[in-house]
Amino acid sequence: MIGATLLAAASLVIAPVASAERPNVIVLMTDDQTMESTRVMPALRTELVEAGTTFDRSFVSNALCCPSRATFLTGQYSHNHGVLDNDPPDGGYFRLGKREWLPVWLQRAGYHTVHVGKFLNRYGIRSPTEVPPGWDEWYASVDPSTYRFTGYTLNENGALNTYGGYSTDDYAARAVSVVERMGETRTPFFLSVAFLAPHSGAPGDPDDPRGLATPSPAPRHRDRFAHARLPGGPAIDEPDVSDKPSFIRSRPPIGAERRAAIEENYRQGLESLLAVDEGIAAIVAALRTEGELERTLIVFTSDNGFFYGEHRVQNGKVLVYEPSIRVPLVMRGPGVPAGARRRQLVTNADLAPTILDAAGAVPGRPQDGRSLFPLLEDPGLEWGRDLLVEGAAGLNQPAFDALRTYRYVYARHANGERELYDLERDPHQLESLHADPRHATIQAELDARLAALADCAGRDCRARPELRLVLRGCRARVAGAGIEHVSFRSALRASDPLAPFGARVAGRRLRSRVRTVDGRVLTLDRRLPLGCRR
Amino acid sequence: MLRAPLIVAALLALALAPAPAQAQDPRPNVVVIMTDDQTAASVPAMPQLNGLIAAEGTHFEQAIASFPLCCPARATNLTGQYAHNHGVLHNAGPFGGHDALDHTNTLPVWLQSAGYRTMHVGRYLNGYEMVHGIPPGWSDWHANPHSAAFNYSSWRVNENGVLRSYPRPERPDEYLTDFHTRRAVELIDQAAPSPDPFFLSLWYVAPHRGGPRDIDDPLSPGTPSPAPRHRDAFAGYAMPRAPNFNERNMYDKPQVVADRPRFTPERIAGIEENWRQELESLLAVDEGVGQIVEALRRSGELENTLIVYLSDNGFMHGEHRALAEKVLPYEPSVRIPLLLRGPGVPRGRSDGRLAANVDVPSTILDAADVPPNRLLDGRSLLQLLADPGAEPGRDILIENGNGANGVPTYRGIRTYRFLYVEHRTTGEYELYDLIEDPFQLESVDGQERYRKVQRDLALRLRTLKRCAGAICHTRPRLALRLRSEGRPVRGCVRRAQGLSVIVRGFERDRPLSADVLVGRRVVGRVGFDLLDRGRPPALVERISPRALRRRGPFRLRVRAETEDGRRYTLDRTLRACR
Repeated sequence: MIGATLLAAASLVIAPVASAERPNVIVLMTDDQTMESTRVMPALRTELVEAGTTFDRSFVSNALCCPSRATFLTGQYSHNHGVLDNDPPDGGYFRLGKREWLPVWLQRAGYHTVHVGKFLNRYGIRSPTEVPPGWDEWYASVDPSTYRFTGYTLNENGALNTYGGYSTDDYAARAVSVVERMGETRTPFFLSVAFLAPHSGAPGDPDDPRGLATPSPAPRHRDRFAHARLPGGPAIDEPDVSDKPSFIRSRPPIGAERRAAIEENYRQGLESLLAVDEGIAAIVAALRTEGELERTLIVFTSDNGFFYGEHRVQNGKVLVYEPSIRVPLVMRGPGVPAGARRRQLVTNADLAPTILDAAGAVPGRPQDGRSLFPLLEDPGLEWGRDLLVEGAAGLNQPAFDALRTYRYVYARHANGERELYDLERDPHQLESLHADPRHATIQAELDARLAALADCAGRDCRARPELRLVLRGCRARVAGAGIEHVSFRSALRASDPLAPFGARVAGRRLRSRVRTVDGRVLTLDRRLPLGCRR
Repeated sequence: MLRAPLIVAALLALALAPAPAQAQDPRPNVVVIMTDDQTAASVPAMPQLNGLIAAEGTHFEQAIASFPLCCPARATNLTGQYAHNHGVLHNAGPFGGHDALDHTNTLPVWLQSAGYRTMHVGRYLNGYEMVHGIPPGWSDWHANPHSAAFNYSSWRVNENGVLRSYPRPERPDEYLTDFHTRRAVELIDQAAPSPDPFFLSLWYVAPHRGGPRDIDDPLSPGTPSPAPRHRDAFAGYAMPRAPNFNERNMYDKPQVVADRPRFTPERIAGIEENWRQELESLLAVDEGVGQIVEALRRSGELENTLIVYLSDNGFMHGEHRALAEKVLPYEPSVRIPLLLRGPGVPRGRSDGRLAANVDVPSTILDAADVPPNRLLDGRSLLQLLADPGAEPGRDILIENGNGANGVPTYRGIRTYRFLYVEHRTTGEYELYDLIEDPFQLESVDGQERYRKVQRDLALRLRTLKRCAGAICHTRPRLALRLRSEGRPVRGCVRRAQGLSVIVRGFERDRPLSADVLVGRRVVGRVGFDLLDRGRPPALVERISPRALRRRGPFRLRVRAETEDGRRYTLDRTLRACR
C-alpha cells in the first residue's frame, strides 16, 4: 500500500554517508533541559561539542515529553503521528502507532536496537511487561515509577525489576554494557538512552523549595551549585505582560519568594545534570575502548526546554516561548565536522531522517523533517523552510500552532488569540506585535503559511519560498516576491542598482543567499557556464 | 402518476395565496434546513420531507459533504468554500471551531447587505458561546450556545443577545427539535408580511447524539433522544446491513481503520439501537419540515421560497468497522441528503448527478441574485437543474484537516466512478472503483489496471487540494468533432450521409465512453473497458442518417465519461443542409 511516491521521497532523504560502513547510533536524551544548562557539563563539551557539531538553533516541534519523543521516533510533526499530549485521549504511549517507527526501520536495516530509560508517557501503566515492537533489547522505566530517581521499576526485556540505585548512573552503566557487548560483534547498533534528569522526580531533598517540584541530584553532586544564580534576563518575571494572551496576563508577578524557589529548582537541575555528564564520559570512554568511537554517530539533545521564571512562568514548558521550544543539539561521529557550529534552524523532526540517513535505512512514514547531513557538509546551505511548533492544551491554556522563522515567531491560539514577535528587535519576546497595524501584512502572510504547515505532511512541511535563480550569460538575478536582500558568492560587482537582486558573477559554481522580508533565508546554487570561469 | 395531483395542488396554492399587499420584491426567500449527522439513506424514513420537498422539488441522490465533520462542513455552508479556503479544519484548536472563521464575510452578511432579512435558529459552529455575541450578518439570532445545544430536553438560546433557558414553564415538556421548528415558524410569520425577502437558516441538532439518556440507550455508542411521542417508532426494525458492515477483510484499508477489532454482538446491538433512535429523532424534524412548508404556504410565500434541506455530513453505522462516526472518506460518511424545492427547481425529480454541500451557497446566491465577497468553490445547482441532461465534468474534493476526530489528515477526490484518497501522514492510498465495488470493500490502489487512473487522480488532487474558485471545477478538456463524408461538419448535415462523431481528450481527460443523443434519444453509444489496452485514443461513433431525420434545427449532445470517471456533455446545434 505504501506507494511509489513515498519510496521516491525516501530515496531523496537518503544520501550516501561518508563512511561506507554503517555507523552505530547513540541518542542521549535528557528531559526538560535548556540550552543554557549545558555549560555545566564538561564531558559534553570535550567529548561531543569539541569533537562534533553543535546546532545553535535547534527547536522541538512540540515542547512536551510525549509528543516530542514521538516526533523523535517517527520523524513526523505531532499532527501527523497523532500524539498531541502526554495523556489520553490525544496522547500518551498508546496513542502512537508502533508498526512503523524508527526502531522498526533500523531493525529492518540490520540494526540491533536497544532502549534504556524513560519512554513515552504512560508506558507500562496498562501492561508493564509489554515490550513494543522494534526493540531487540528493552530496559524502559515503567510509569509512574519513571519519576523516581531511586526506586524506579525497569521492564528488562519483559521482566519487571525495581532498583534502589540512582537512575542516571544505572542508565549510563547499562548503555556502557551494551556498548561493550556490541563492540565484540560486527552488528551495528542503535542505542537510545533517555535520562530523567533534569526533570523533577522523587525523592524529595531537604532543601527542596515549597510548591515547586524539583529533580533529585545524585547524593555526590548535592549542593554542588548551591550558590549558582538564575541566569536572569529581561524576560524573567516580565513586568509588562499586557501584550500577551489572556492566560499569561492572568499570571501574577513572581516576586522574590517564588524567585528563590525557582532558583533552587534551577540549581538542583544543574546538579542532576552532572551525573548525566559523567554518563556521557563513561559511554564515550567505552566506545573508545571498544574501538567503536569513530564509527558511532552520537546525538545529544533534550525532549524540550524549560521555564525558570521567564514571562512569569515559574516552571514547565509547552508554551511557544524560546526557553520552552529551544533545546541543545550536539552530534559527533562519521560525517560530522569536529568543533563546528551550525546556525541553521533545525527541528527534532529532523532527528529520525538524520539517523536513517546515517544508517542507510528507509522510513515507513512520510518524513516531515529532513536529514541534517547536508548542513553538516555545507555550513552555508540554507533550506528556507519554516519550522512548525505545536502546543497541547493545558489546564488554563488553549492549544496552539506556531511558526518559527529566523526572524519571527507567530502563534495562533485555539481561543483566537495571536502572538507575533520580531526576534531581530525583540529577542526576549517582550512585546507581541500581533495588534500592530504595521505588522498586519507580515502577519497575514505568516498566518497563511502557518495554516499550510499546521496541516502539512512530508514534503509540504519542508516548503521553501518560491524564488528562482535566473542566469543570463554571466549575469545572475534572483526572481520572486518578497526578497529583502541577496548576496552572491563569487560576485564581481555589487548589485546593480538598475537590476536589484542581480550581479555579474564569475567562477565555477554560483551560490546566492537570499533573505526574504519575513526573515526566511534560502540558498540557490547553480553551475556557471564555462565562459564565466575566469 | 404523481404529476396530476401535484399540478392541482400547485394551482390551488396559487389560487389561495393572498394577493400581495405591496410591490413584492421578486427575489425569492431562502430557507435552509440542516440536520446534524444525518445519512443520505435515512431520507425514505421521513414522509413529509418526501411529500413536500422531494415530490415537489428535486432530490440530489449523489450529494457529497466535502469535509465530513460538523464545523468545517458548516463553515462551507456559510461561505461556499472548501475548508482549505475558509480555514476551519477542525471542530476545535487553532485552525478549528467558531473562532477560525472570518465571520465578517459570510453568506448572511452578503444576503443582509443585499436587503434580505437574515434569521438563524438552532445550533451554530462548534465552540460558539454567549461571549461571542451575535455574529455579523444576522437580523434575527436564535442560536444555541454550543455547550447548551446537545440535550434534547434542556437547552439554552441566545435570543437576539439575551440568554434564555428552555423549556420554559409554560411549555415544560417542550422538545429541542420542536422548539427549533416553533421558533422558525414564528420568524417566518414575522418576516413574511414585509416586502423584503428573508433568509432563514434552521440548523437542527437531530439526529446528533445528545442527552438525556433514554432507558433503552446502549452503553456505546451515544445516541440522540427522540421526542417522547416518537420513542420506539422504529423499534423492531432491523438495520439494513450493507456488505461492508463489520467488514471482514480490512487488509486493503489504511491503519486508521484496519487495526479496529470486529464488533461483538453487544456492539452491533448498540449500533442498531443508535440507528433506530436517530430515525426516531428525525421524525420530529420531519414534522418540522411539514410545519415550515405549512407556515410558508399560509403566508403566501411558499411558491417564492427556495427550500434547501441537507445535513452537515453523513454518518457511519458499523460500515468498515466504524462504530458511530464520520470524518472518514467512505460513502456513508460523505454522502448527505440534499433536497431542493422552489422557483427554478423541477418538481418530483430524483437527480443522480454529482453535487456537494459546497454548491449550496452558490445556489442560494444565484437564486437571490446577490454577489459573494469570497471566491466560491462550488457551482449553482440551479444551472444544473435548468438542463437535466447536462454534465459539467465535475469532481469533488474530500478533505480532512489536521487530524480531526483522531483520523489523520487526508485528501481525496470523488468522481462518478472513483474515490481516491491520499493518507498523507502514513503514505497510504485508497482507490475504489465504485462501479465494480460500490461498497468500497477492496481498494484497487496500485493495481496495474488502475495505474493510469490513479496517476491522473493524484495529479488532479494536487491542484484540487489547493484550488480556489473556478479552478475547483474546471471541466475536462474534451474536443468534439463531427465529420460527414470525410469532411468537417459546419452547422448543417446532409441527411443522406450520416455523421461520424469523434470525441478526443488527452492525458487525464481521455474519454472512455460516450453516448450520442439527438434530442433526448440516445442514437449512438461507444465505450471501452479500462483494461482494454488496444482502445483508440479517440472515440468514434457512426450515426445513421435515419437518426438525424429531424425537422428544423436540432441539438446533438455527446455525453462522455473520462477514464477517471468524470462526465461531461458537449452540445452542437445542427440542421439539415438545404
